[in-house]
Amino acid sequence: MNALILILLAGAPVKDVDPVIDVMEAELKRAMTLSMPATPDSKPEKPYYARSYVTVEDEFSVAANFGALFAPGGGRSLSIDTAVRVGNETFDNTNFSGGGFDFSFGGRGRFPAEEDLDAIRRALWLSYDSNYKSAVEAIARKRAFLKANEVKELIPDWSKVTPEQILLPREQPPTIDPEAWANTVRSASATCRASAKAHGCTVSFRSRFMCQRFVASDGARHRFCESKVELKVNASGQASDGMPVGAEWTKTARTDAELPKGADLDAVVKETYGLLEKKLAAPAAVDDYVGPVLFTGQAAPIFFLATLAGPLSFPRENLGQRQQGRLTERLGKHVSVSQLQATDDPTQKSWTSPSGAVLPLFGHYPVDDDGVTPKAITLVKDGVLKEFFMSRIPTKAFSASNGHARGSQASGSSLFVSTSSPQKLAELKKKLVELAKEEDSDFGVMVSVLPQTLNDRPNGSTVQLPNLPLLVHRVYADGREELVRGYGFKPTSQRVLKDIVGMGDDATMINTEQFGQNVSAVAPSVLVKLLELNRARDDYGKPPALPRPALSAK
Amino acid sequence: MLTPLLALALAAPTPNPAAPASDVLLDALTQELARSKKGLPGEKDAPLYYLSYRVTDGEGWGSTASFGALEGHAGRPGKLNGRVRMLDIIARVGTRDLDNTHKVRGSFDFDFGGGGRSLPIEDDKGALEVALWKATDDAVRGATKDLLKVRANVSVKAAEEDKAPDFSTDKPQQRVEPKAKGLADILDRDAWEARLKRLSSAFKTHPLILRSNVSMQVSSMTHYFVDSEGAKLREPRFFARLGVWGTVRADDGMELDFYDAVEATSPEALPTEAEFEKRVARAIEKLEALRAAPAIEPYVGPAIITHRAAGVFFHEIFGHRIEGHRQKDADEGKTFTKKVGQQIVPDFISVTDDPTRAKWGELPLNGFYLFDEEGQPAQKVNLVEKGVLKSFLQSRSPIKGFPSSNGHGRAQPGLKPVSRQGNLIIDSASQLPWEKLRARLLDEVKKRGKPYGLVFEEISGGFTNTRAGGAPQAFKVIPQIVYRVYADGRPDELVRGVDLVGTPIASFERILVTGDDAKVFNGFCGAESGWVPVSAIAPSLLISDLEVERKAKGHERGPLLPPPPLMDAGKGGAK
Repeated sequence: MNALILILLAGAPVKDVDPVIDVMEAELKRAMTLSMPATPDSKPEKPYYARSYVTVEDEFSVAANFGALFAPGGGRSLSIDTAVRVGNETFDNTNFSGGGFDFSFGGRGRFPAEEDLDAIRRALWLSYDSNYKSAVEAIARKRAFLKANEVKELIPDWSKVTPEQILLPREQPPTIDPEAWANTVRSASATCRASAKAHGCTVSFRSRFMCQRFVASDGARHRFCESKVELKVNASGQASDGMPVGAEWTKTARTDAELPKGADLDAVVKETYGLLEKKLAAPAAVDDYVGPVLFTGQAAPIFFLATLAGPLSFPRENLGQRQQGRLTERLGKHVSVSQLQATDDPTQKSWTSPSGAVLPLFGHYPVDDDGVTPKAITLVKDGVLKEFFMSRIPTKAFSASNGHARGSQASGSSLFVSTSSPQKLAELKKKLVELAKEEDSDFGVMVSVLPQTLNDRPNGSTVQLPNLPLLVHRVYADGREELVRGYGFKPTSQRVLKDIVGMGDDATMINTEQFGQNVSAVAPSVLVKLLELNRARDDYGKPPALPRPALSAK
Repeated sequence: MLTPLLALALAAPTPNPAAPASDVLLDALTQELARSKKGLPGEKDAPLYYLSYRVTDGEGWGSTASFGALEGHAGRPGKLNGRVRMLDIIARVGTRDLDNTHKVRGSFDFDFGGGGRSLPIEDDKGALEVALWKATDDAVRGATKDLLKVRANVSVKAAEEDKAPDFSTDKPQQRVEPKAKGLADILDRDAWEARLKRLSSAFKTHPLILRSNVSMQVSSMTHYFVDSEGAKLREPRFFARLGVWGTVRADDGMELDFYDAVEATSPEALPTEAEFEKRVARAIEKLEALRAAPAIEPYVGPAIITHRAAGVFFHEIFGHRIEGHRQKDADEGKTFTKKVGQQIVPDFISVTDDPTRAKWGELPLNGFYLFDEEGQPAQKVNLVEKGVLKSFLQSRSPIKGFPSSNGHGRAQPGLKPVSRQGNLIIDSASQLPWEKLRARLLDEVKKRGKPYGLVFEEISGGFTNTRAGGAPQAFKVIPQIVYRVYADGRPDELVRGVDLVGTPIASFERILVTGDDAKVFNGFCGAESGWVPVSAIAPSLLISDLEVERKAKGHERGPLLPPPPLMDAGKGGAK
């Protein structure tokens, strides 16, 4: 029976019917007729471009600590977003934030939580209305700013593209069994009860499924769905000197079948609290460190997200808000050592590791947030900056999008960093110690895990690596590697890419978030000649006065 | 004044044979408290002399529907969705006379409590004890630090006017009531959400009402309290509220709201769909009438504040000023601090606050509870007798002349308790039936040569400033429905945009007489210890001089396009 239906469906192509897109189109058509009554001092401003998103999200999350659940969360929610541009592509109401404060304290009401067409259409109507009025006000302020200020070169505000229609199938959310996942995290976190040192040990699961619909007045349409599941283990404790110490493990996947469960997950938990216990027993950094740092494993792709992808994001600055010394200004010039090659490719769905494992890339998207098909771009070739992330908002250097609109501006997707002179990790470690000697240190610092906090907006030429590094070793001349805790990075500059003195023949992939967007990064180990690290603070609160209550096995 | 004898009599523990023997959470709380009190003596000069755990454990949810569809979140994966278990710890170090909770004067450190912590929702004693252990250590450490600040502050500042201790000596209470029932066992959420959707659909055919919703909040919580003095309490509380809200924009840009709600302290007390449908219809009628009504002009003159509105009026201008802790805070205005024994309202008015009262007639009262958030039994307090101020609402923070709690230390989970209102009841010995009261209003209007008087029919809420310095010691209540009542016999006229303003003591003196129509306003009151459910019960008040001003007008213009047509065109909408 089922097979028969499938054949019938396959035999006769059916027109895609999506009533949500229909109401989005109907309301968009009305929005394009919005017009403020003309006054003696102003002509009516008409929208020249408008667009809306309707995004449905299904979420579920559950966590347990030492074998007992916390309250789970989740449910279905909808978000509705509209934008209206008045003026024309050369000069419109955007890329300007001067002359007033846009404070909005709610007032627009909440969004419907269901695909109820009347409710969605009503929300779109009110949202377009409000954004149109703001746009009319903003363009007037922008004109006033230009009258009062000398602006050397006015860059257009919006680029034209050939509108694309990418309507992928309307998928159903994956079946997640909340009770089964509650049992899994409860049982896995109970494994930690064997650790006498852990103060907290949480296993958490989160699934998120979203379907996005997009309709724009230039004819662009898209619809696609995306699923992400995440399993995390966090163990925490406090060292005898009072320093809070943590160890964590995370895995993201497209379906929950790809995540470890049972004995496999128990082993991960055991390993995580085992690492916590080692870190608790490790010495604290007592002196500041100035010298070479080797980033390996997960820390290498995070290093490049922070030092390369981050500074190349948000390339267009608002009128009157130009920053000095940004990396994007170095187009066509050497921004790193010549061996470094970097591309960004949102079209890749997966990556095959050197060991042959095929891993999903969460930086992938079929169409960007401006409705543009993404393209692979070369960021750095032989150390020279070739391109940066572009949305439909033009910059001085580029007028067209390269399909990297993520949210309101351009940023990265899947970053691939490689080298034309790969070296073995052992050679890099040897070099690390040699360079350290030149800085009068008998050890070099190796960082293998960095926190995944990548939300620092580009700030001139300053670069801040994510603090505090979670797994740090001192590497000595005799090959000894000593776990150490408490180091933190001081702010550095974009020069850090030029201070690279070696890159590995390995490659590590990470799926994480940068500026609130899913991104991926693949990179080899990287050795930096000189970085400054702070020593551990010396004013931590004392450890608890009473011993932790005993936990029997479950 | 409340005598200590009465307090003790009320405080006698009640035997409760129905309580089941085993409660893992209560056991974990009791045992970890004992271990902490014994093992954490505090610093030598800052001994830990008091420790309490308050846990709010249960289930809660809120759903909102607008124009026939649920808003916010829908669908609840898993059986445990909506479960809550929140811990609040009070650690006191130093002595009862001076401890870490003493107010640091001239400081910008706002400390409303530890913020509460989530506990595991499962009855796993070990996991609960570990969570309690860490939270307790943090709380005691924080208290020790705070005491240093307090001592430094006391030594450098001028002597305080009120030298009452920081913590009262009150008898610890023990009472273990049955646990709250699970919400799924008493309410069908899916059925209620379907009702909300149907009820909210009524707005679809009223395009001038820009935004609207019908909402329901429900919680069924067990409140636990244990302390190092021996208190051990468990009390179930159920609460539900069904509300309807809408907003319109008048042609001049003024945005007008109307909100109406029904509160229930048991599932049985919730209205049926047909009953609430009438309230939705009334809300629609009021909103459309308000949109078309003329805007008020500033006015000073006679007015009637009807019963429920009068309850809010008293809650704001009187209730907040007799909260005990405000009487010893140097930053407070202390309107009534030195007026005990003096007349503060006309002598035909008496006021009590009685959180022990569960119902007014058949109507459940929001401000009812057995024990407050400091583990003290709720008590009826005679605040004003025949116009004379007798007492204040007391938490365990004593004030001069009032050394004990009277069971009014209240807080929402996550915040520290302070003295708050429960069920504020205004009683009058000078009552007139409605028709006579209205006739008396018109007499006053004529006597003053005014063209009309005002009748305040509905008030959505209000706020008051009790602080000294800066903003005036004023109050503001937000009337929703106000009528002009004309002296020349014209029909009553609805007006919009009315703000009631004034200063507290002056307003009291102007109450001429009351109605015989006392009614209940059930609501939630927000202050430094968060939102707590309260009731105010009052008869209508005739006031000789009431000042109103015109509410600030919005700058926004109404939507430029008509509302979109409905999918089912037969239902109306823009044409």
